[in-house]
Amino acid sequence: MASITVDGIAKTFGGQQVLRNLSLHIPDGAFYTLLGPSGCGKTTLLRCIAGFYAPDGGRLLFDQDDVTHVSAHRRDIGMVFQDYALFPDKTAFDNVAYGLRARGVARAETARRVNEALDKVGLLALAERYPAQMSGGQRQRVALARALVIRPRVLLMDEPLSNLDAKMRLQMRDVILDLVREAGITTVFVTHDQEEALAMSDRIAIMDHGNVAQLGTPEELYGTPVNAYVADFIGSANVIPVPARNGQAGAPAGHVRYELCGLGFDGVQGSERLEQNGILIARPEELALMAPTPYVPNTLPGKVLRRQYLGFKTAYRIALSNGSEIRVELHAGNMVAQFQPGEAVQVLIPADSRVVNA
Amino acid sequence: MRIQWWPWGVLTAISLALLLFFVLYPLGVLFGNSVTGQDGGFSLEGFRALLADSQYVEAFGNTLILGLAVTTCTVLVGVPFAYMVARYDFPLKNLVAILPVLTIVIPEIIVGQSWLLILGNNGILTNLLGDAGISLPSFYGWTGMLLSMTLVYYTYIYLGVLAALRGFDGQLEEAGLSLGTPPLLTKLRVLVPVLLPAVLVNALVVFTLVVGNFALAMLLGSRVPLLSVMTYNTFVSEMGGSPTLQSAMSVVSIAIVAIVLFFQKRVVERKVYAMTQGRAPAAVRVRSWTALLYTGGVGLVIFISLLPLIVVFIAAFTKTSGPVMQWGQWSLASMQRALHGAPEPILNSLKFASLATALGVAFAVLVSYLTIKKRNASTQVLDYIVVLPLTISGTVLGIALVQTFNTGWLVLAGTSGIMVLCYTVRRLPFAVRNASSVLFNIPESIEEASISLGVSPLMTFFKVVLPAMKASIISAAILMWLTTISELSASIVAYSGGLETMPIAIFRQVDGGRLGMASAYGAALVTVIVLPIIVSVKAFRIKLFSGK
Amino acid sequence: MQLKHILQYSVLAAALATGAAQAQNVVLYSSNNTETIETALEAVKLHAPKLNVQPVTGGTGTMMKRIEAESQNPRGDLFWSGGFGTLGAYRQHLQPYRPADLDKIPAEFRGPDDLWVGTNVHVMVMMVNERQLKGLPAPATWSDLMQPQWKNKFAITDPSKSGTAYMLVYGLYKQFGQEGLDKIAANAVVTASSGTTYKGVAAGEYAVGMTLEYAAQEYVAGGQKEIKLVYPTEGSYLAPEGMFIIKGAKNMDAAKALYDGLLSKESQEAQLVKNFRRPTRTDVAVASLTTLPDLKTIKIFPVSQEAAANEYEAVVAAWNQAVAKSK
Repeated sequence: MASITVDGIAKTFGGQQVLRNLSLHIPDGAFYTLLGPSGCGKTTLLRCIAGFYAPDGGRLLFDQDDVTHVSAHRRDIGMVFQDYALFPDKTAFDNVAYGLRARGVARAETARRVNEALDKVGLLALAERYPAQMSGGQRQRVALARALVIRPRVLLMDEPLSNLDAKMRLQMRDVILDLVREAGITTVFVTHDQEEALAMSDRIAIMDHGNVAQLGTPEELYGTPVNAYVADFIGSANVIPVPARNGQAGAPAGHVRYELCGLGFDGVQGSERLEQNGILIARPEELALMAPTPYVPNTLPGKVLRRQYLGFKTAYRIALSNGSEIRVELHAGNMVAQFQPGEAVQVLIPADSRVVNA
Repeated sequence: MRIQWWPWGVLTAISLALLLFFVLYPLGVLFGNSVTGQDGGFSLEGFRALLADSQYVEAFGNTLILGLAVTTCTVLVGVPFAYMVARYDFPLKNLVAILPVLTIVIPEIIVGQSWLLILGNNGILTNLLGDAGISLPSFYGWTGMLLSMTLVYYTYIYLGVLAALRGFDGQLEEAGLSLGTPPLLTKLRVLVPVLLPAVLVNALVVFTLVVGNFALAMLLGSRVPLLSVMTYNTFVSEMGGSPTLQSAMSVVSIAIVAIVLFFQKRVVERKVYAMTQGRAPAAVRVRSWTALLYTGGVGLVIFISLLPLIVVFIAAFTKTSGPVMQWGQWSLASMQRALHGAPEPILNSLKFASLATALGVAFAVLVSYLTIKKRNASTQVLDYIVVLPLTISGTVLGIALVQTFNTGWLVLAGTSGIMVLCYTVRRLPFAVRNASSVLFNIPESIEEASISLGVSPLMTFFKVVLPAMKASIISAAILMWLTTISELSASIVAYSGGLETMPIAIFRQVDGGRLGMASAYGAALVTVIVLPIIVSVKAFRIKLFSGK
Repeated sequence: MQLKHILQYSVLAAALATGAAQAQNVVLYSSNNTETIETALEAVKLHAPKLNVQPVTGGTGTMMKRIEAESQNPRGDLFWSGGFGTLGAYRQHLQPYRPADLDKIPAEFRGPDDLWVGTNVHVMVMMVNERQLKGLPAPATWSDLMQPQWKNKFAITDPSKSGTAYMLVYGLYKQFGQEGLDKIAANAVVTASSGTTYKGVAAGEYAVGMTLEYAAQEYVAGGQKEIKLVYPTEGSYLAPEGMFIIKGAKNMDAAKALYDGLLSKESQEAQLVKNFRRPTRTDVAVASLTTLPDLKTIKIFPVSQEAAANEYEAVVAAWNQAVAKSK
């Protein structure tokens, strides 16, 4: 088990800089997720850690060992791939045994550990089957067993659940977490699915064009995103440009005043050194709707464009006076009334809504 | 990048060096010799001499005409046949699957010789008909060549059109019909533009094969001057003399093929429409007399394709008196002479083919791995050079290799080396294509998985990639074995005493008028060819044509 | 593939082993066909049973060039057989040897300075395919073929490509001069090898071929009824062929034994009966052993072999001239 230190890694492909001077520290035994849309660099970073790409600059350390220029096959890693990458001509047993045999582990010991690993993923009965005879979920479990049986220093997973159907995906989340926790192994998990990231990770690094936009626990990322990109990637958010200025004297620290549709609002500063033109982040489920009522602070008038009843919540599309549209979700539990399309309403924006830099 | 140079960079460099030395260099020598005059300086007198030689000009014209004629015939045979097999269901249809196998398995020289045994002057059929009072026209010349070449090459058209028809989205036709055009017109308007590229691509291949054909042209060409025969004869008589004429002729042959292939690449392949999602219309079950017609047609074609085999075995055990076949009387003399008296060609064939197959497949696997999995500028060059031998007919390749390796620091002429070299270079493009076809389906991730598990990239190649390619390697080896063991046109140029192979022995026996002996060698050749096929299909369950 | 390799190597090993077990190897370079060699070697076995002959075959021209190329390190021991002119052209590669039976060979069939000896004398004749005559009367003389109705109906081999064909053209030249050559060239279809000529006649491509007696006789004896042998009344031409020991041969003693064996009465008789090749020995009675006539009874137009060799360039040039004129 080792910690991973990424120190100023840069990587360029064909003239395009995919990773820009990226630094990240993953403590020993932690489960970190690299999250982002395709092209953000998460897979590139993972493959740099694995050793399949050599970085153009920066260093990479496992614990105190500088592995920047160590060949991939000597880094003592375990890797799980999106397409499972099982050796098609070998049985499940031989697949799992492959790494052990390459390390010269004795036959009896190999057999013992392989059977143990297969048992842990619940596939001992399929040990003599070939990959072609297994389902996607089974294959991924074999791949997992294969990576873990060699007791690597770190475990790297490249979108391992993306090729599975929804139900299998949920099951496999638990399987992975159980195994990883039991082994106590440092894990780097790459995905584009934010729900997966939230459910599994100790910390998530959201990546944007080769940089880490924000690194934090799921709660931090959801509750206090530092910019619009993060906010919209985790959960959904209304993202509204607003001119802002720091709050008046006497107001609590971090308080800001911002303007929207000609009205003044109280909000919270979300970025350090907030700029003049900020972005208001308002999650649909944090907004409230009411019938037009005068003199309620932090509200602004709007008109209901569309209403979608979804059972446990109702989603509204509201047009604001400045022409923009926002989405409001009212949950069944705390819904006051139903509003119909065309109705005039008032939208309440909580005073702890955050204003961040663009 | 520090990690990259070893091992693949080094291997790419070695492969390039080998190919440059054994493929490009001989071609260079050939071109060089074609423009070298008697005095040793640059001169076009070789080409001028060709232009001035009326027989050469006639040969040039004849070769082109023959190419066109045979191509047309193969299209006329192959297209309807493919349509029949693709669209209709009738008894015996499954037998059709063996046709491509037969074409590869039966060497051209045996086909030619068998037709001589049947329709030649003293042939079985000729005699039978002669006794009945019907005298057939001479089989030699245009008749014989047209017939035998069409039979040998129609499979290319057939397979190509069949694949196109199978990938054809039947909904296109249905769409056409729904728009109001009558069925036949629909078929023409919709099918033809899509099939045309498949037909054209393969027709051009057939054309180049006819132009470079040696065995059938030599055996049956007789009084018709042809390029390949003239080139060979010039080589044989120029031995020890200045190689200008033979080189000039070779260059002209290469030019013809290169132009045709260039045309194919630029003009035809551009127009190949890839079906994005095709479901071919289901085969229609045919009834009663139509079924009989189709079954009869298929049966006939299969029978005619099998005929050379049957005839060769009959002739091998027929009594002979010198050059005269005593049909109806049997004797083991020819077989005994071939197997006991002169087993050398058989041993040579086995030896050379095995060596060439081992070397060729190993090299092909390496090259295809480098070009597909380790792409870069150098491997692209590798890719192009490997394909070059396709443009060179066997005769020309043999001439180039002999000219290059007859003298100098590496003398291969007169040794097994040059025979193995001929075979390997000639068949390399096919072996590479065979090996490549499966590599596309082996994802990079399994190599990375192996590396992540602690196995170095080089060992990964042996422990993961090769096993995954196993089926493809075996089928490449078998195809290479089959085609090298029946190769004639290059080896007959490159061989010298003691290095005769079976096809060469057959050729020389036919040349000497000894069709009985030729058939004995032919029977041995076919046996040696067929055994590995049977073994591989039964034991390894290999599908030989999955890569085509 | 493993199994196949094992099988091959076993076969090879076995072959090598049997080869090594016998004494007295000798390498024979020959331009004759398998059956002829077989017949000859069978007879040789009676003379020298311990001889293990390894034949290497190829066209005469090819073999001579090979001998020349290998002169520093000869791999062959004995060559059989080639026309005298050809042999003369390569004399520096020939090892003189006087065989025991030299007295049975007429002087005209001996080589100078014991460099070679004639083993067979071929007679150039007309081979006729009656089925292809199509109304024309079968020719009886060379001059018949010079008539206009024979245009493109008969074949002759290019003299520069074949030793025996050269003797034919030389004879025609001596007998009929340049004019004769011109007329023949005007009518003939010129083939690239002797084989093409006689096979062509047998196959029905040509009505007549100017070719070797033994080749034609093979078809006649084989039972191809439409083939007939015609000895032109104006005289046939002789084309003897001989053998020699290669200078520097590694197995000199074995080569000499083979030489004697090939020249033996048994060998020449066998070749006559089975392959229709005329012997050079005076003690072989041709007519009593085959249907072929004795040499004495055939009209031969005499030519000097030596002169033929010396005038090679001039005569081939004369022929080419004739061919050029006919185009």
